[in-house]
Amino acid sequence: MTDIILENVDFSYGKKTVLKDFSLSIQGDGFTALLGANGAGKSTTFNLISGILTPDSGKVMIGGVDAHDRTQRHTANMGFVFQENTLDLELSVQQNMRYFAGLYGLKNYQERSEALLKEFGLWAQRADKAASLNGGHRRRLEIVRAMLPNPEILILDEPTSGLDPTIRQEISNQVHALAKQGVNVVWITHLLDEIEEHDQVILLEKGQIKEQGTFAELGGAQGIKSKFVAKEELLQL
Amino acid sequence: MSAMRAIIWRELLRFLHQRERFVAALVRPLVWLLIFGAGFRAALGLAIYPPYDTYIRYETYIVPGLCGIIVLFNGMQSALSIVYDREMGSMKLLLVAPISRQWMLFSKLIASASVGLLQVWTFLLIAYLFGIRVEPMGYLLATPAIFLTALMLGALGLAISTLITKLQNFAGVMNFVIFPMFFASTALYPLWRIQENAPWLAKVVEFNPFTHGVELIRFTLYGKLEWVNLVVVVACLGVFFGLAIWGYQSKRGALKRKFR
Repeated sequence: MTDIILENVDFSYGKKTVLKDFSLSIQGDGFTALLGANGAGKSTTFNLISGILTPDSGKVMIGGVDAHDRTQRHTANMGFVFQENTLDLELSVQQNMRYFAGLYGLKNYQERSEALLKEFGLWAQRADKAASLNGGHRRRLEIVRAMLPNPEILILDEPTSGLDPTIRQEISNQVHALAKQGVNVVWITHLLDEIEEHDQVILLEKGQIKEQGTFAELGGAQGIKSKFVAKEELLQL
Repeated sequence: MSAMRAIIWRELLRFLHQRERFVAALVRPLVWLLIFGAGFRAALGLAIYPPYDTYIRYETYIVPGLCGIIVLFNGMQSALSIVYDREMGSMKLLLVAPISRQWMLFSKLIASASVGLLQVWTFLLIAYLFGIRVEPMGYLLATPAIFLTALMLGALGLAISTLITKLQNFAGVMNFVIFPMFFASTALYPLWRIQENAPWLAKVVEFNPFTHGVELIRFTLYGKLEWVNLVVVVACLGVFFGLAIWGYQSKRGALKRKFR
């Protein structure tokens, strides 16, 4: 029960309409890239799925449950990694994990926390303040934290923004590995080199889906770039 | 409850890490108490007036008001930190957590009031060491009153934070809230003195929720209770918190403006 469905969603910020009669369906598990240039509606879609924002009309369904009827159990089944830093920089790595576990009501989280920190190469930094971590480690910590409740859905909004290509690739590989373990990963990005051949790709443009298919089906990076009006904003490094 | 405990734990830890904030919170009322208090003692004579059964020193009179200003500043500081969290994006973590938005705001409020109470206790201890004391039982009885006042002012801060879209606007708004609330209240001078000199101001003071918070603390410090103060503080807490919840609904202003 990890399907994400948006049905006929309208959303506007004041007079500015961002999504109009927008529908989207992300089925099952695997890695789905939501790709689009700035202003395509990616972050608004993220905020609607996460429940931070509510659509003006239409439905947002996660695992068959309407966002309005979402219970704590449903929310706990979703992990979110935001574009902005949401770590408490004054707390240590472990304290950030403890704070998050408290928010999610996780009692016996220590063992999983340790395993995840080790898996993402953060165990040595566990006592360090988040403020002292470099950009790559901070992003990893955000991912580790989101994975703490063992969610079936992981949604990441431009998680590698501002990082150098090597670290971006490492993080992308680690998240792809999570998708292969059965997590339904939705990766919001405008960077083509973070997408692998078999990933599902949804191309967004001006609040509408322009194309949908696997990366290979859409013709890879070149094919996708040729389909975009704002192709200069899609980078391939 | 786990989420509330986590939010309180984080707020207390953050407060302990920010030692300068703790010192600043205490310096302000101590300056009033030890410097202004000594200066105004001669200028402002005080009659025997409830809850006092005898003549008191001016410093003793202003202690409840200074407790009030501590929790008022603390409430606004917490609101500022919410605006900061919203501006930086870290508020999103709370917004997507499996807790209702009302519970999240309520937990924030309890955390803020707990920090305010710690500050007031420390202030009262310092005042005690300087010889400004009440009956020991008074401290115990005043604790719920201080906490309730801190909740009311924290809720006011939360409600105001829904109207603020940019961090830099916060200082200006606060000047229109903190100082008028503080000076147009009974924190520094009793109501009867204001009535003698400026009847219009006395009306403003009577309608100021901060006045009722201060008076609630003042009376309970002497083991007394004026119901009107308690009713006004509880009612204002309800109204301010209701406004904050309304403002933080995902369809409305504070979030929609911010997360565009």
